[in-house]
Parts: sequence; C-alpha cells; structure tokens
Amino acid sequence: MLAALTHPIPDSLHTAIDGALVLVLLLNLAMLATSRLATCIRLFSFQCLVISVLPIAAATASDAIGIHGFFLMGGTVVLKVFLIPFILLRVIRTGDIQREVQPYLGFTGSVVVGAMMIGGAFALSSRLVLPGQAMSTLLIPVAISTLLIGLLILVSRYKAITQVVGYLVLENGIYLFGLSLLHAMPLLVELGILLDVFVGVFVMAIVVYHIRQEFDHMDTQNLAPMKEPA
Amino acid sequence: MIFLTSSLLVLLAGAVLAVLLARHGRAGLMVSLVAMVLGSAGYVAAAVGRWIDTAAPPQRLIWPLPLGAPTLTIDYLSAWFLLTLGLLSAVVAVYSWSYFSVETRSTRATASVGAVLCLLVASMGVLLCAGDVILFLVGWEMTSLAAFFLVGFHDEDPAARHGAWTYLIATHLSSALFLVPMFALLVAVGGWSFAGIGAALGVQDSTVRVLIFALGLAGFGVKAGFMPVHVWLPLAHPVAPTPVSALLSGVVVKIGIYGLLRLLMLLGPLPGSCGTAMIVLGAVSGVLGVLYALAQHDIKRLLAYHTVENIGIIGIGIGVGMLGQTTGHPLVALLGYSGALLHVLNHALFKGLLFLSAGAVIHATGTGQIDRLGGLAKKTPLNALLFLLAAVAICGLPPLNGFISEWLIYGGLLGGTIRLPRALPGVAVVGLAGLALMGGLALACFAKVFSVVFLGSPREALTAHATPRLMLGSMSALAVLCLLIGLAPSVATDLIAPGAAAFVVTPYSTSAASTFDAILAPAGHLSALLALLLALVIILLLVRHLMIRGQIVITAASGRAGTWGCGYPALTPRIQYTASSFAWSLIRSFRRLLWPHKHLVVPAGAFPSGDIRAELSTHTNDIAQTDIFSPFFKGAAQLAAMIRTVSLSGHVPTHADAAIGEDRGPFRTGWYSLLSAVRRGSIQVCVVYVAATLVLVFMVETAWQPRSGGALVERTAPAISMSADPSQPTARPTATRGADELNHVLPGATRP
Amino acid sequence: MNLLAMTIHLPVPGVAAVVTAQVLGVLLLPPLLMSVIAKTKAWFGGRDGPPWLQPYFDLLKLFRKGAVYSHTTTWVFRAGPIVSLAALLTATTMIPVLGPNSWLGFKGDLILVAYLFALGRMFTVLAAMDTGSAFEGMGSAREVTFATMSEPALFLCLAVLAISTGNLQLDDMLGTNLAGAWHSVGPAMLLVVGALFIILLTECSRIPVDDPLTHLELTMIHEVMVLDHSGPDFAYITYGAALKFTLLGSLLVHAAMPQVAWVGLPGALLWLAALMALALLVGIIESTMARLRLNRVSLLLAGATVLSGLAVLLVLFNKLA
Repeated sequence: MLAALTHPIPDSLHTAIDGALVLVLLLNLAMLATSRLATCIRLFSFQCLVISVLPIAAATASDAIGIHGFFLMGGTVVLKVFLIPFILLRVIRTGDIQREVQPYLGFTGSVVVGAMMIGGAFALSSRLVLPGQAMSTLLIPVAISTLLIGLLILVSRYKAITQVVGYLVLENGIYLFGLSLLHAMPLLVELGILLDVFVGVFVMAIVVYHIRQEFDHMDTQNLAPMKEPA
Repeated sequence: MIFLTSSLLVLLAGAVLAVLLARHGRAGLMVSLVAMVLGSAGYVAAAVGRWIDTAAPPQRLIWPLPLGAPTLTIDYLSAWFLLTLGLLSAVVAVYSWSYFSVETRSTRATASVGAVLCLLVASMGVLLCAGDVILFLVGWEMTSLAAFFLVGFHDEDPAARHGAWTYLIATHLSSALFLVPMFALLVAVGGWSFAGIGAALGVQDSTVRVLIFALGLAGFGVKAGFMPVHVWLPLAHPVAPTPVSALLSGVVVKIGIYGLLRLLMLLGPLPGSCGTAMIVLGAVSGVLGVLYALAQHDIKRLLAYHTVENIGIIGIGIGVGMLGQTTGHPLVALLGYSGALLHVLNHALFKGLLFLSAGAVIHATGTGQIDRLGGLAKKTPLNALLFLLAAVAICGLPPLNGFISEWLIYGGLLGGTIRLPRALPGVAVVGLAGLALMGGLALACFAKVFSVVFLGSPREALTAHATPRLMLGSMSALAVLCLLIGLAPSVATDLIAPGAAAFVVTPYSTSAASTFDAILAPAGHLSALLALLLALVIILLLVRHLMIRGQIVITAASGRAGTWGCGYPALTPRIQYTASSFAWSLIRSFRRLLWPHKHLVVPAGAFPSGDIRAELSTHTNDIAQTDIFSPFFKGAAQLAAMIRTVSLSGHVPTHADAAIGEDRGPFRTGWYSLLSAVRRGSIQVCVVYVAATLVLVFMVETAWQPRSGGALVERTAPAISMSADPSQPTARPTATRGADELNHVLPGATRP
Repeated sequence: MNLLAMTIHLPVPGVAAVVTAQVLGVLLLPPLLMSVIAKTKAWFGGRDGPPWLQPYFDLLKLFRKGAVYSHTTTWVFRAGPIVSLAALLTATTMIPVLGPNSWLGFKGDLILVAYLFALGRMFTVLAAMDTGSAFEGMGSAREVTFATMSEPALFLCLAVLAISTGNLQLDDMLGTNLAGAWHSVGPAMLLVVGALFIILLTECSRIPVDDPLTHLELTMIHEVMVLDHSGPDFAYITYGAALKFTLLGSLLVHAAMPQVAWVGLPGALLWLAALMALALLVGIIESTMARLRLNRVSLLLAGATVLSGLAVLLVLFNKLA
C-alpha cells in the first residue's frame, strides 16, 4: 500500500492521459465545427468513450479508486456511449428531422469562440487552487472548457436535438471535473448523476419527439410565438 | 544644441517672413519652405550630434523666462524622434513647393500654410526636446493648433472643416480629461522638470505610477490613434492637403508615442498588467486598423487607417519592452523598445512616402477613389515604383525597412514567450498572433491598393498628368532611406541601441553597449541574406534574358484580346476586379468584427425596364464611431438641448424629439436584439442566462472552496494544487496525503 | 558596425564538393516530389502516370520557349515570377532540407523565412492583377484571403517550436532538438504537425483547399493566377511552387521526426525518403478527397489556427506547471 502510494506514474501513461484529454478538447471543437446532426452525436459518443476510459487510467495512476472507477466506466459506457446516442439518432431518424445543424453563430465563429473559451479555461484553471490530486494537470482546464463548450452548443444552435447534445457535453464537463475529486466523491453521488442525466435525456427525447409530432418542426425559434401575449 | 536653437530661430523667422511676404506672389511660400528645409536639416544635425558626442551628458539650455526656467535637452530618445521629424519634414517641404504651386487658392493662403508648417515643425521640435512639463505642454498645444489650421486648409469644404474640428476637439478633450490630471500628479510628485519627476517617481508606490500610466495612455493614445480613440485620424487625414497628411501620419501622431515613451522612461518598471494592456491594445488597434483599411474606398482614408495599424505595431513593441523591463529580461525589453523606436522612424518614412505618392496620384488624376483608377503604372511609372517600394515596406516584407522593425518586435515577442515568467508568455503569444494576422492583412490591403490603382487598365477615362520632377525627387529620397535601412539594418540598430537601452539601464555604458550589440548582431546576418535575395533576383533576371533570346511577343493593344480571358474574347476594363471585390472575401470572413453593409439593387421581373441598373456597393462604418462616440456626443447634445429647452420654455422634450438610432453600430444592435430576445422569451437566451449563472456559481464555489473549507489544505500540501508537474510524479509523504484526503471528506477533521 | 559580420567558414576543397552536392541535391529535389504526387494519383486512377522525370522535362521545355506578354501588363508582371522564386531560394538557405542543419541560418531566421514566403506571394498576386483579367483577380483575392488566415497558424506553430526548444534559429528548433518536447508535451507536438500539414496544403494550393488540376478557372486559386505567364517565367513559377512544397514539407518532416539525427549521405537519403513519404501522403489525399467548398476552407484554416493555438497553450501550461 505504501509502496503503491509513492510509486511514480509512468511517463507513457501520463502522455496517454494527456493525449486523451487533448482528444476530448478536439472532439469538442469538432462538434462545434460539424454541420451534420448525426456526426455531432457520433462525435459526442466518441467523446464519452474517451472520457469513460479515464477513470481506469486514474485507477492505474493512483491506487485509491479500485472498484469505484470500474463502476463509473461501466455506467458511462453503457449509458452515454451507446444508449443515449442510440436514442438521439433514433429521434433524428424517426422524427424526420432535417439533418443539418442550423447554428445561430456560424461554424467558423463557433470554433473561434470555442477556442477563446478554452483559452479562458486554461487561464482560469491556472489560478484555481483545488484540493485533491488530479491525474493530470490538464484535467481541470479540459473539464472547464468542455463545460463551456457544452454551454456554447446549447445556446448557439436552433434545434432542440442539438441543445440536448449541448446539455450532454456540459454534463461531460462536470463528469471530468468529478474525476479530479474521484476519491472524495462517493459512488452513490456519481451514479445518481448518471441516472439524472439519463432521465433528463430520456425526457428530452420524448419531448422532442412529441414536439415534432405536434408541430411538424423542431426549431426552438418557432416555439417563441406560442407564448401567451404579454 | 546650437543646431537645435538655430533651427528653431530659422523656423520662426521663416514663419514671420512668410506672413510678411504674403502679398508678394509665391515668395512667402518659398521663404517658409526654405526655412523648413534648413530647420529640418538643423534637427537632423542636432540629433546626429547626440550620437557623435556620446561622452557628453545631455545638454541644457537655460532660458530665463517668467514661468521658472524651461530647459531644452536632447537625450537619445529625443534625438531619435528629432531625426525622424527632421528627415520627413525636409522631404515634405520640398514636395510642398510643387504641391502648393498648383494650388488654386490665393498666394496669401499658400504663404500662411507655409508659415503654419514652419510653426508646426518648430513646435514639435520644442516638444521633443522639452526638459520640463511647461515647455512640453506649450509644444503640445502649439502642435495641436498648427495641425488644426493645416487640416482645415481647404476650409471651403465641409468635410475639411469637420475633420479639423474633430481633431481639435479630440486632442483637447484628451488633454483636459487625461493629460492635465496626469501632469498635475507628476508635478505634485516631483516638480516641473522631467529629471526631478523621474527621480521622485522612483520611490513612489506602484498604484500611483499605474494611475499615471493609465492617464498617460489614454491622453497620449488619442494623439497616437490607438483603436477606440482613433476616430479623428480617418476624418482629418483624407481632407488635409497631402504634405500635411504625410506630416500628420508620419510625425504628429508619433508625438503621442513620444509622450508615452517619455512617461515610461520616467515611470520605470511597471506591473505586468500595464505591459499586458499595452500589448492587447496594440494588437486590437493593429488588427482592427488594417481591417478597416481593407474596407476603405478612398486612398488617403485607407492610409489613415493603416496609421492606426502601425501605431498598433509600435504599441505591441512598447508592450513587449515593458514586460521585459518589468520581469528583468533586458533582451526582451531591448528588442521590444528598439523595434518600436525603429518602427517610429520606418513608419514616418514609408507612410510619408505612401501619402506623398497617393498625393501624386490625386494630383495626376484628380481623384483618390481607388475603384475609379487603374493602369497608372504605364502613365506614371516612377511614382508606381515608389508606391510599390513603400507598400512592400509597410507590409513588413524584406528587403525594406518595415521588415527590420517588425523582425525586432517579433524577436522580442518570441523571446518573451521563451523567457517571461508565469502567464506573461501567453500575452506575448497574443501579440505574436496579432502581428502575424496584421502582416497577412496588410499584404492583402496593399496588394489591393497597388494593383487596382497602378496595374491593369484604366477603369475610367481619366487624364493622367505627369508627376512633377520635384515631387518625384523628394519622394525618391524617402525610398532610398527605406532601402538603406532595409539592407543595412545594423546602421539603424546601432543608432537605436542607446535610446532603447535607456529604458533598461541608465546610464548607457560601453559595456552595456557591447552586450546589446551582441543581441542585435543578427541584423548583420540579415543584411547579408537580403543582399543574397537581391543577387538572386539579378541572376534569375539574367537567366531569363539569356533563355528567351529575344523571343518575346507582346500582344498588340489594337489586336485581338491581349490578356487570356479564358475563352472570352471581349475583355473590357470594367470586367477587372475592383478594390471592393478584391477585399470582399476577406471582409466577409471578418464580418463579425467589421459589420459591413451591403447595398444591392436588383432589377425585378423577367424583362426589367432599362432605367434600373443592377448595382452592388459595400461600405463599412467605424464601430468606434457608430457605437461609442456618436451615441455619446448625441446624448450630450440631447442633454444640452433638454437643458436649454427646459430653461427657456419649461417644456421637457420627450425621447421622440431626438433623432437617434438611424446608424446603430453592431454593439448597440446586438444589445437591443438581446433585450428584445429576452422580452420575447427566446429559449436560447434563457438557457444562456440560467447556465451562465450556474457555471459562474460553480466556478466561484470551486475557486473559494479551499480557502473557506480549510486553509490547512493549502498550507500543508501546496503541491496538490493542480499545477503539479506531470513529469514529476506525486511522491509526497503519506501522512500529509492521508490528512488532506480526510480533509476533503470532512473539512476541518484534522488540525495541525 | 556588424554589417558583414557573417561567419561563413571558407570550405576546404573536399568540403566544397560536399557543399556543392548538397546544394545541387536540394535544388534538384522539388520536381521529383511533384512527380511522386503525380504518380500516386495515377496509381489511384489505375494508370501508369507520366515518367518520373516528366517535371524536369517540362521545365526544360518551358525554358526553351519564348514568352508572350499581354499589352495590359507592365514590368510588375515580368518581375513577379523572378521575385517570387528569388524569395523562395533565399528561404532555402535557412531551412534544413536533406540534413539536420541549414546553410545560412541565424538567430531569428524563422521570421525572415515566413516573410520571404509572403514577399513571393505579394509579387505573384501583383503579377496576376497586372493582367487586368477578372479570373486572375478572383484567384488573387482568394490567395490573399487564405494566406492571411494561415499566417497566424504558421507563426503560432513556430512559437511552439521556439518555446519548446528555447531557440530562435530554425534548424535548432527542429529535429533532435524537439525530442524533449515530444517526450513531455507529445499531444501539443502532434497538434503542431497537424496544423503545419494544413498550412502546407493551403500554401501549396493542394486539395482540399485548391485543386491544382481542375479545368474550371472559376474554382482555381493558384493556377488561375498564373494563367498568363509563359516560357521561362512559367518555368520559374512551376519550379517555385515545387520548391515551396519542399520547404514547407521539410519543416513538417523535421518537426515530426524528433528522435532521428540523420547526417551525411545516408542521412540525406533518409530525409529524402521522408519527404517522398509526405508527397505520397499528399497524393493519397488528392486521390481520395474532393476540394472543399470555398466557405469551408476558412473553417479549415481557422481550425489550423485553433490547433496551433491549443498547442501553444499546452506547451505554456506544461512550462507553468
């Protein structure tokens, strides 16, 4: 036990963790840049896969995780890598939704704003003093940028389905943040979050589907006039 | 020093004589311009004297005057600006002779313009060599007034009056709001003389110094034309007579830079945030300046916006210098300051040349509208060559002088990214990316101007007069200087080193000199490689000459289509790309920064009637004007009107009385649309609001947690902050680790 | 006065032969790389493709021809190809191509190299605009637009190399000097290589930014700018384009291969192989991808800038930590 605690993390593992985190960032940017809904969802699924491997890496890096990390990974993979993207892609298919993303902000503009958010996240995290030992120095900035970019996707796109993706990316950011507190966060809380997310997406998907059924379109812009007059 | 005083006397005498001789034909103009040339030569001699006589301390000339004893001193900084002023104003004086000779105004007007030019040059000389606050302010005010009269020379033109008044109001507002409080602070701290202030400021607390810097940046920034407060530049430059535009852009705006540098020299090292602000301001000014330049249709207005860009470049250089100074990296500081100083001279040379050359174009064709011109290289070949040289120089391309100063600034920025501590390399990277973007955009802009004005075929049947020899001769002098500095940068860097070094070490010693020579040594390599470039050009020229062996076919103008039109045989000059179309793809890419307006008239119907012609025009408003100043001044005018109406008639005017909002800028448009979106209940805006609040709370919580949760965590294990080096594994005492782990679960569970 | 303080070590005869061989090798290399790309594309199309030496034959043929100049053109049109090629040849002396060292590098040469590329571009654009043709104007406008957007990316990439090696001389910022950086901030280096590759494709007008073989002038960028050049002028342009590919490719290859210190003749052959592999990759991309819509190109270039910016961020963050 003592030996394991003072045991240095191998360099190659560090590079792998850093690489995975940078990949998460790149996937965020790719989601901003893509013009296809299905591509966006697949990129999200891939991002979840990368993220779900991280607890294992963290488990190897420091011994304090154990079975906890495996539960997290299993839950994430099942829910976010397979189930949620499946539901969303199904909604697109059956809901006869136009397959383009339709942004408020242009794709290039989104990427540039996203890059600025990443810069801001790095600047912010270099000032943060957080308790707990992160598996990589990049974890916190990547978590914050994922959070912010999720927010950006949430607000800069017309379609309800892209807003769901934005919400999920935002949640990925929170998940990454949680990884930095892995040994301090009880498993129960973690599972609770996952369940919440699942229920949230489920409800949203149903709502989206029914919006489509009732109103023949999925554009949140057209929902605004439905409000009762002020 | 004798040169300086005699120059001032000659200039004043010239001004007086010009007024006296105003009735005698062009003699008044002649006398004043000769005085200007002599005075400028004196300035150059005085400046050069500073370097020749290095051992001598800065000299003083005591003037017994009632307001204390104002002193004139020349140190290396003054000398460098004096050199810039002397070189440009001598050329401008010669150019002015042929420019104002053809002027249709009365000889009295031209004589008075000569007199005011003399006064302008004299007052700038006084300002640059002022050793105390009073003389500095006298010079500052005289410069502003002289420039005002010169800008308003064509006072029959409302645009000229508008430009002149805007300039006067801008410069006086900046003086009143920022410079007067700043100088009041300086005088309160250290008395009237700069030497005394410098000594007293050294012991001041940094808050006071930052305050003084902020006031100075705002006040001098208006004169220099940094981005949000540059609005007077594009209004005053195009309407002023060309030689005046050249002087305004070349030296008058540099007065602001001089003031800033003089202040920095007095203040000494400032906190890193000041340098950061300077770099960001420079980058913003530069990028927006060149983008606006790209969107212009008038050649002199375009050049005015390029002045904003170049001031931005100088600002980046100064910012790098400040960061290097703050953190104790003389290499970075020296590269930054010397780049900025060299760019001051370079910009005076190539921008002066560009303005004079543009003036020659306007002289030849009668218009400065880029899209009406074309093919001038055939009619005025020498002017085209001069403009091209200046364009290559202003784009910072080798082998001309613009490259040398940008090279120094790039060196400072890259050196900064390598050496500066903490987050400051990030600032240097911002400057680096900004400078690179500016380089690309400036290239696009000058490729546009040069090719549309001088290349291709004429777009309209304008008669092009030959350019007077005197104009060409004076411009050639500037071009030669540009080439000289470009090919032998060591000459210039040797002259700058002591001036730039004065910011880093005082006094300038020979040992410091050798260190700095070593830092700037690559300048020698540079000239060798640039010589290689020229040699290669000549070799390739010869090779082509030998290979072709006279087999050159030049398609005849009368014959079939000259240029290959991709199968279309009836090419006309109207088919050529215009400046607007050339720039449009870039402007469209940056539309979120520029907010260009597109005006399109499309003929309707299948058979449109003949009187409606399809028409497409684009124009770009200045954000600073539409979003900051015009609402501000409109508001002020509204307030004044309200006060007046209420006090006179008792009637309170309603909102509808004032005409507002017909040309709203993007910020205001965005703000209004956001408000209306909130009122409409847009989902996106609500989500932004909710999520942003959540994220904010989350971040504040995480940021504060360790401090509120347990100060212990920070104290016992600082290494657990997330800034731990990944290459250094987390080998920490297990006891500490156990303790802080416990702390996470139960804050405050363990006490030391 | 260090005007001519350049330290050129006068070579002894044996060394002189080596230097000559090096110079000749580098100068003869560019058309070969173009040949590799052409061959790859031919293989993908199921053809044999032109002979390996075809680009050389083309150059020789062009040199033997005369030149046609339109009456709208001036001396600027004739100066364009010469200045562009001279700028690229000057840049060649500062970039390591077939060995770990450049010939005439000095501290700060990276900026000169970048601006020499810009000088060449300026004169190509001006020569195109001198013809007064709308097509060439269109090509010029696109060229300056895309070049402007790739410029910050290039400088950010150079900044990453400078920060990770602490050096401002190109040949000291590449190759083995980067070994440490690849070890500590590998992901950042991968991003730099990616960004450099996009810059290479943009600056050299390859697919997916520009299609060098398209036959519709409306969609071209570089090729449409040089429509009116002929004879030796066109030979200069063709060779210059190949040389630019070689130079940017060398930067890329030398940044991507940190562990190897290949020197001497075997080393030169290995670098040659690496460059040919790069040309092969470009050929594969050209055979399998279509050109992007013009408005997606700016997204690609913004992507390159963001990638390199991210790399800077990672490197600086690593240094800070």
